[in-house]
Parts: sequence; C-alpha cells; structure tokens
Amino acid sequence: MKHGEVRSRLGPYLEGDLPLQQRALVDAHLDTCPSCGEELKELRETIGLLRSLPEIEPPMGLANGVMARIHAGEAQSTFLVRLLDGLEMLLPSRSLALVATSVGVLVLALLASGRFAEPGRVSQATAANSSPASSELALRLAPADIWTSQASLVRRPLGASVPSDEPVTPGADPAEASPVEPEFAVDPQMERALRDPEGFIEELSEVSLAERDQQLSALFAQASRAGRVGEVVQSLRTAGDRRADEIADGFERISTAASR
Amino acid sequence: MRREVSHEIAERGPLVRAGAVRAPTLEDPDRELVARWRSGDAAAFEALVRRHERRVFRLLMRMLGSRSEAEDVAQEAFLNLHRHGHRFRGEARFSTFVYRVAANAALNRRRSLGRSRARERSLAAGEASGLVAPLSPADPEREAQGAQVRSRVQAALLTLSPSLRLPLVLYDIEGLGYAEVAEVLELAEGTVKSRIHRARQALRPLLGALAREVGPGRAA
Repeated sequence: MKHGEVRSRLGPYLEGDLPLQQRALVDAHLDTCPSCGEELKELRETIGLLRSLPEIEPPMGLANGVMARIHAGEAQSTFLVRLLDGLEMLLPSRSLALVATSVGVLVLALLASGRFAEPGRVSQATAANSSPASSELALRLAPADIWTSQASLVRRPLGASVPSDEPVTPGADPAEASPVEPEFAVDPQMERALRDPEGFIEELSEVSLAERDQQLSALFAQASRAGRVGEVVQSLRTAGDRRADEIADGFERISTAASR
Repeated sequence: MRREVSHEIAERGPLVRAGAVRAPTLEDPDRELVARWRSGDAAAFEALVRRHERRVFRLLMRMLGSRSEAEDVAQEAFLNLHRHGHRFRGEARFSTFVYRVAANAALNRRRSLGRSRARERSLAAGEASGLVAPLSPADPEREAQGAQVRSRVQAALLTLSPSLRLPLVLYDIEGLGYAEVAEVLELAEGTVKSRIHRARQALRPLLGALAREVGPGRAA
C-alpha cells in the first residue's frame, strides 16, 4: 500500500472501521514507514483533543427567553412561509412548492392588478410598459399587500427605518402611503446586489423574515423594471452562498413563469 | 451522549467512541412531547426547549466561538423550530431535526458575521473553551494550562470553514454517528466522511503540535 492510500485510511483505521484485510495492509505499511506513523500519532492526538473538550452549560435564562419571545408573537410565520408550508403538504417536494408558490404569487398579483391600473398608477404602469411582461408583473408584485401589509417598506433600503410621519396602514393602498414614489429613482437593493452580493446576503440574514421578504420582492421588482433580472441572478451566484443561489433560482423561476 | 475519550489509547488500537453512537432505533424519546406540542400544548414545547437547549447551545458555541453570539442564535434557532416544527414528520429523531435547525442557524449567523469578525476570534476562542475556572482549583497551574489548551483547540476549530467545521463538531464533539450527521446536514454519508477527514487533516498540524507541547494526558 502506498503512502497516499494509507493516509486516506488513517481515520477509518483509528475508528476501527477498516475491513480486516485493509487494516492488515495499513499495519504492514506502518511497521516500515515512520512518516505515516507520525501522521497517525498526530491524527490520534487531534481527535483526542477534540473529544476531550468539556461540557458547556447553557445560560440559565435561555428557555425562558425563548418562551417569552414566543408569547410576544416573534415566532409567527410570514405569509410566504405559511404559503410554502401549505403547498408542501400537497406537493411532493419543496422545490415544487417553491415553483407553485412563485406561480401562485404571480396569479394573486394578476388578480390584484386591476387595482393598480387605477388613475394615479397609470404613469407607473406606463413606465413598466417598456420592460418585459415579467417586469410589469413584478412591479405590481412588489408593493402588493400579498407580500406585506406595509407596502411602503418594500422600496426602503436595508437597515432604513420607517419615518414616524409616514402613514403605514396595514392593507392601505400603497399609492396613498407613498403617492409620489420617489424611491423609483433609486434602486438600492438592486445596486447593492449587483455591487456587493455577498454583503447584501449577509445583511439580509440579519433582518426578520418579514423584512427579508420585503427586501427580496423589492430587489426583484427593481431588477425586473430595469430588465436586469439576469444580471442580478448572475451576481447573486458569484456570492458562493447557498442562500444567494436559492434566491437566484427563485428569481429565475418567477421570471420564467411570468414570461410564459 | 458525549464521549469520554481516554488519552491512554494504545499506539495502534482504534479510538473508542464509548456510548457515542446511538443505536439505530425508531423509538424517539421526544415523541410524546412533540405530539402534545402539536396538539397545542405550549408547556410541551417549553419542555422540549429545556431538553434540547444544552445540545443546541453546545453546538453553537463550538461553531460561533462566543457565548453571547451562541445565546442569541440559540434563541433564534428555537424560534425557527417553533415556526417550522410542523415540518418534522417523525422520519428521523426529533433531536436530529433540532440539530438541523441549529446547524442552519449557525451557518446563517457565520455568514452574517463577515470577515471583520476574524480578529475577534482569538478572544472568542477563549470564551468558547467553555470553561470558567473553578473557584478553588486543586491544581491552579494545571487548570490554567488546561484552559489554555481548550482555548487553543477552539481557536483551531474556528480556522476551519463552516462546511468542514460543522460535520466535525457534530461527529467528534457531539458524538453523532456518520449517518446522523448526514441526516442533519442533508448530505450523503460519503460527503460527510470526506469533510470530516479534510477537517481533521486541516487541524492535525495545529493540534498535533499542541499535543506535543503539553504532553500526553495533560491536554484537558
């Protein structure tokens, strides 16, 4: 047996997981090879040190803290999570549920689109006409209250708070909450996702599920409106992050579903 | 659950994982509590939290290296468990599901910490050694050395990428078997074995040198 073959088997050798015949071959090699013997010794010490780490006591108030937050309603699921969970009961896999959720959200957006064709929303719809169909759908999708009851938050950059003088009424028409819509002049989520996808994902991981939903729907809306969904997807994939990949996958699925 | 591993290991003899690997069984000690929780009994969920808080906190301490971070993330993990508990279908042990939720919380938190936290690691490593010096150590010098060794082991752990550290912690520190680690991480068993091998190889120069410094039997 060669050095490399022996060294790749030292873990199972130490665990006693090697078949007898292989164990005998490793033993024979170790009898004549000091360097492999040294590696075995170091590996044994490494595992020994890891396994000798002491027990760690959890903080006294951990369970109480968890229960207090649950009683305060912090464990509530977002709309998207509940929808996904419901679909998962009916569909065989989570990915199918994701697709179904995406399509379902688009259908709901379409149903709600009549409301967005009212006077006062025409300029926005007209602006969207220059984009592909998916962009228009997504534009309607982002502020719709199927994603959030606080539609005005949708177009707010990460970390920004709601100004106290801005009316935020659950279920209120987003146009009333933000009649001028100056936010469309800047696309903070999209700029961030394109410029620093890794940082964008890291920031997303620090906000609540509900805010994450809002930020992602805003990102998709901005990218759709600018016709840059593909670019955002590509940028997210460069983050080398499983969550960024999942978001990129979701965006692609929604885009595909919308363009059909 | 946790192993007691003697340092008096024969030169060639296999490492013993005494009591480490749970016998494969369909019997889940949490089954009744889970059923009660699902039927709306909040006290049952609290009992589950108390039963599992130690393993969740321990895993998070080893993954994050900081007691305060671990406490924050442990709370988030249990809130996630409450949100998504209905996804548990009883195909694995509930403890496996708990580990999965905690592992995901740890991975998400690691990413959010960012590179700027790297400089804090050595301090965090000391904290995560999990040791508070006893009020009256029988041998203060030996105790101080033990604390230093544990701190360096934790610091070495934090040099691993999370994708290597997590399976290593679950296997070598938490004492799960390969199959259960694979189930927690939703990876193939072969992938788990390979990552554990790579993780140990990465730690070997650091911890091998440490073991030589302190001598056999004085590591912890």
